[in-house]
Amino acid sequence: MAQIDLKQATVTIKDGDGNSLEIRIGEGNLTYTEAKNMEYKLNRGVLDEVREGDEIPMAVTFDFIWDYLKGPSSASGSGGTPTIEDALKQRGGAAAWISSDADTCRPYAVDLVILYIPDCATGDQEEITLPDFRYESLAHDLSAGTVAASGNCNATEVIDTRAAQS
Amino acid sequence: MKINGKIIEGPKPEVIVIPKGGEEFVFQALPVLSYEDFEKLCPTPLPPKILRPGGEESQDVNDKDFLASLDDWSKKKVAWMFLISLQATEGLEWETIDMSDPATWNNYNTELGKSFTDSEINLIFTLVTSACGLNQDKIDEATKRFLAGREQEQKA
Repeated sequence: MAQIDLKQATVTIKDGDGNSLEIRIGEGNLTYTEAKNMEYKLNRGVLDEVREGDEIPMAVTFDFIWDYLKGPSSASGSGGTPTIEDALKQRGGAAAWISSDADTCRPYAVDLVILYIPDCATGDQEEITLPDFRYESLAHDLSAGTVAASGNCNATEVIDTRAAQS
Repeated sequence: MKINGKIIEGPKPEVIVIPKGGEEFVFQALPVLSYEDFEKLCPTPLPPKILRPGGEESQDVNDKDFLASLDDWSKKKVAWMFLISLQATEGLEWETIDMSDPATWNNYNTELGKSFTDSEINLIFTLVTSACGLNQDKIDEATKRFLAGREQEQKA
């Protein structure tokens, strides 16, 4: 399980059509778990073959206090700047968002992108993308700026890139 | 519209002739009176909105992406103005510019650069800015002439 301290990070919820909601985090954590089913076959009681079993979706949980949400100038649809709930539920200011999943018959999903910029200017920035996330539980308080959610990604691994700070 | 009973005449083209290789190339530029068509193709970018806990909304005018898109939009606007203004030039054709595709508008510099020197391109650009009323030197000169004339009238 990977745990990211979100104090120096920005989380962006992205749809499949260039819409995004940037979340500036005050404090909190995000965890994701990549898991694999490995099947070990024995040969007369001795370890022999190894095969990969069924894929397991990546589990994601996050719990944080946000400082502010940054949305598009002309919030698509109605309802002004989308909230986190709007972006995850495709409603309000995010009513016109399009699922990040290419298969439109599947339930609505979004990409979660975490941009981690370390304190020191010499350290590389890291961008972690959790593709096609669908929440399964969500607690959000707009007035307090808190959100806690858990769900799964329709992917087995994150997409991780590092680059020099711009 | 009239000022002191005088009808303000419609736009007149500014003209420049650039002699080159034994030929004379005549460029004409007309003022661009409306940017409506430009706005249809390239709406002015707006800053992203910020929502704070409690529901307070504001605009982030310092957003990096917004500033970059504003910069790009400004360049496109200048290019569009340049191309529309120069449409008054007889026989002028661009090879790589499609007025319905903003991504091609900035090609005018490359196309001009194939045939004209930097200083000649600057002259053409000055022609367009003059036609569009953006030449501050000309405005300053006209203002000085007007004020000098008024001073003489008062003395007399």
